[in-house]
Amino acid sequence: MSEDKPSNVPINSGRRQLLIGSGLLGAAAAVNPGMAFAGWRRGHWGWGHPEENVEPVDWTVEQLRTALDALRDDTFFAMIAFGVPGDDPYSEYQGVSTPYPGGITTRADLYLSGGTDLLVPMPTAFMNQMLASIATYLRLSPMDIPEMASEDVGENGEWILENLDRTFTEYLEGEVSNSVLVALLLNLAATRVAGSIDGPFPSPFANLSWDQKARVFEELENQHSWLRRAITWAIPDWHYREAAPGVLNLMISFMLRVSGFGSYCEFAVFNPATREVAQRPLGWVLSQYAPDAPPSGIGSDDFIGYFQGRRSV
Amino acid sequence: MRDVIIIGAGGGGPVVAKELAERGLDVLMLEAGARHANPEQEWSALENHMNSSLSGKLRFGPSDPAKPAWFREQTTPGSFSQVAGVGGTTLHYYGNSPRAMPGVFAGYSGRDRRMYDHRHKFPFSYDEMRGYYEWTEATLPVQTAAMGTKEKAFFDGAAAAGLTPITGKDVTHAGFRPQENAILQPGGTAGQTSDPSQLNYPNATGCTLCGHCFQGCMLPKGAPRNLKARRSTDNSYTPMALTADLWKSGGKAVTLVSDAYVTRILSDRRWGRRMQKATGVEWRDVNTGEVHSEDAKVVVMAGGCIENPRLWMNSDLPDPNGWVGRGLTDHALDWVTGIFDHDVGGAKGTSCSSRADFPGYGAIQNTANTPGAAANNLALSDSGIRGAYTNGLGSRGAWDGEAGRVFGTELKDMMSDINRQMSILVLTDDDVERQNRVDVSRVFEDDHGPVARVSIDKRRRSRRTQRNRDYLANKSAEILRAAGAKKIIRTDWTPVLLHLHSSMRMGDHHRNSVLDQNCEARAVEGLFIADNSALPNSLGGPNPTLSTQALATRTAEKIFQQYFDGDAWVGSESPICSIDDVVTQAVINRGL
Repeated sequence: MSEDKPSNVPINSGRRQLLIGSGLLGAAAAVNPGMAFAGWRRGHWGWGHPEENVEPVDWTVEQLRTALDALRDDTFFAMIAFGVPGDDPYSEYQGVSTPYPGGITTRADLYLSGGTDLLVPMPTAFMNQMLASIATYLRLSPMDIPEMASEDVGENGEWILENLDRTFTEYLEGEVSNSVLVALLLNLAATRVAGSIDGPFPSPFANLSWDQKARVFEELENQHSWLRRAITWAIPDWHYREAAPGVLNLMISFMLRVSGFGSYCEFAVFNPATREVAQRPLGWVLSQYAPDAPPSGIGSDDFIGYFQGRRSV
Repeated sequence: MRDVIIIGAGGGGPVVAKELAERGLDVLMLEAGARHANPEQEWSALENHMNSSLSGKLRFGPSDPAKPAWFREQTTPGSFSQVAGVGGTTLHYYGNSPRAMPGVFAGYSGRDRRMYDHRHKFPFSYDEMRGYYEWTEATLPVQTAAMGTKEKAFFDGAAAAGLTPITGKDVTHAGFRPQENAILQPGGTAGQTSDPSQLNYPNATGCTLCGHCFQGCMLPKGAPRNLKARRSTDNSYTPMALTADLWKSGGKAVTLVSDAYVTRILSDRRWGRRMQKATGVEWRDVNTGEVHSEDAKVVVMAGGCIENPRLWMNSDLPDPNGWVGRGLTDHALDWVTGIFDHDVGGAKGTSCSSRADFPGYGAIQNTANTPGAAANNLALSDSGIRGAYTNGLGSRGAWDGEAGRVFGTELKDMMSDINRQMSILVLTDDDVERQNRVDVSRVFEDDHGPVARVSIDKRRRSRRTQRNRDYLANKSAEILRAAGAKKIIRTDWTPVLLHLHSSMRMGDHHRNSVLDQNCEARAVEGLFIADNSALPNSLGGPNPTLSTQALATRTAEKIFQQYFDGDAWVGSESPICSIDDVVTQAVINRGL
């Protein structure tokens, strides 16, 4: 145990639920399993206390950033598989797949995360207040992960959570991408809908079936959803509180809409030097668009004539 | 001091610029976005490269691609589809140029007169507007669209569904017709071949049926700028404005400054009927951050339905009746798609060359789509995910099952052959409603001040708006069924902010309009508006650009008469067409 270990004051249950339900703890543990609780495995909170004889290690902001980026990627793969399923592991695990490639093969996940980052210029204070509000809300209205909300996780466990929380706070004071925020919210919503989620992926959302993913979005699109209440519950800034639902709407609708656009456009094979596709985009193959491309067409022989021979009215 | 400063070079601004330049006035036109001077060297036919609202060439954002797009806040679900830059949103429009429904004008006495938004009509008659339509149609020019695979399939379906053709420019009854498009129709090899080596100007003239209207029109290759097929204002009115001294005796070329974001309208307080007098504008160079200002006798706002209210509020201009930014209409767009077991040209030919009009309800039109846009349009809904949840809506009608987002394997199946899709865009005759509005954000600010905040709540639209939208979706499905569709989906879009109108509306009464009958601000002397925001309503459903351009022509006349002691010209002169040889020669000589 390190000399500068802080006193073992349990962080409040809402904050604890935020760290776990959003997939953050699982993602951190996936990056460095030595940091995990003994009972933690693949995103699922099991039984038992942290190993008392294992020396806890400080999470650094950089480690956390790596973990969160990986969580974001995992979550967005799962999102794309939800929109345009294919023959990839995420599609297969959700129980809805096709024998040929889907959106993940087109790398629509990169399109989605890049687009989300550009979507809204979120002030850091706004993002922090939204997450703090969620934690406050979860304290009053906990999710269905009772073992973490109430169970004594032992001295090391508390220390690990506290350290993670402090590092997360520090991380949020720096540059945080929208895509990470969206991934955390999506995973929170997944945990809220399905409770403790077991599966092969660090992201709780990625471990859901297709039907469960639809239930997550049913909840998110509801004008009275718990997440909408949670993000506005305790935002101190009145203007942020007023703007938060609109920002949430924007992000959710973007996720749903752009899963399709990203999967079928030329994004992955665009060559900016030639302003042309390097090869026929997979989305064009899937939709049987422009069979002779590249290059892109500049005309067609589709002219039939004029309706009733009318050239003017 | 300039005679006139015009803010915005989109669908409306260049019309005023060209008309007043032709009269010899000293006009400065400021555009916040890119100049787009060399499309053949800058653009492509690729939808993400060109159309991404976040990073595409045709976005609402600065010309520098390394800088982020300009953000607008939304309080209700929806998405934007607007473009900054010379040409504005006409850079990605389909050239559709129908006239408005006669029933939305003052003095209309048809038997269906109660079918329209009768409290928010044009403050003048359709007969008066017709003269401006004719002038604008001749200038652009507007031509009857050719027919390809999907148009023939649509016409066959419409006829089988019991509709009859409309054969004039004025809509007199419900029926179908080829679009009246601001597109030069195919000539030479255009429309006859897909071989790129055969499609250079002058072997090919007019529209080559490439299907890439949304990506911006730069074809035929090698054509002078004013002879590119589609008549977006970067190809029509702007080249004319920039060369007015060369093709019109006594004309004076407009000064165009792009990357110039107007941040303030300068004004003086004054006594009298109007509370202030516009004296000039202040703008920021988007690239350098330098701030400039110039004075003018007249200022014309043409920055669009969202930016005009923002600029008004950020300029602290008066809003005595509270209508600035209110009454926004958007045609309550919706999307109905049919899947066929044979090729109906879903991605072939022009982007949009056929339509049906339903006076009192709105209009529908058949469109061709690139794959990303097609998938996007199927996945955009307020009715949840089909088969999973409805978000409290999921209406049923002549389509199959519940309305909603197509997702997962259903999306993949529907996208499996894009040419077996026929998609219909619903353009609702929607009501002017005060709660649909633009103001400024309390949270988000950029280099040009607090950003615009848009509220248009689809679920709170008037009963008439919702009835009209449902009616048109049913009509769309009936046509698709009659055309042979095996499966029909209504998506039930959230608002797509593309056809925007009336947020700074003109009107016949000082209590419910920002602008008077001449499109001059009731509260600010010398300040006019000449874009979609000046429209008093949503036109009864028809696409807005032609009506905005005709109204802008009328506004230019009013400016010339009121502030420069000139005479009106529409009705007494003949317009010079933007493809006239004298204009072409001027464009070439000026190196545009």
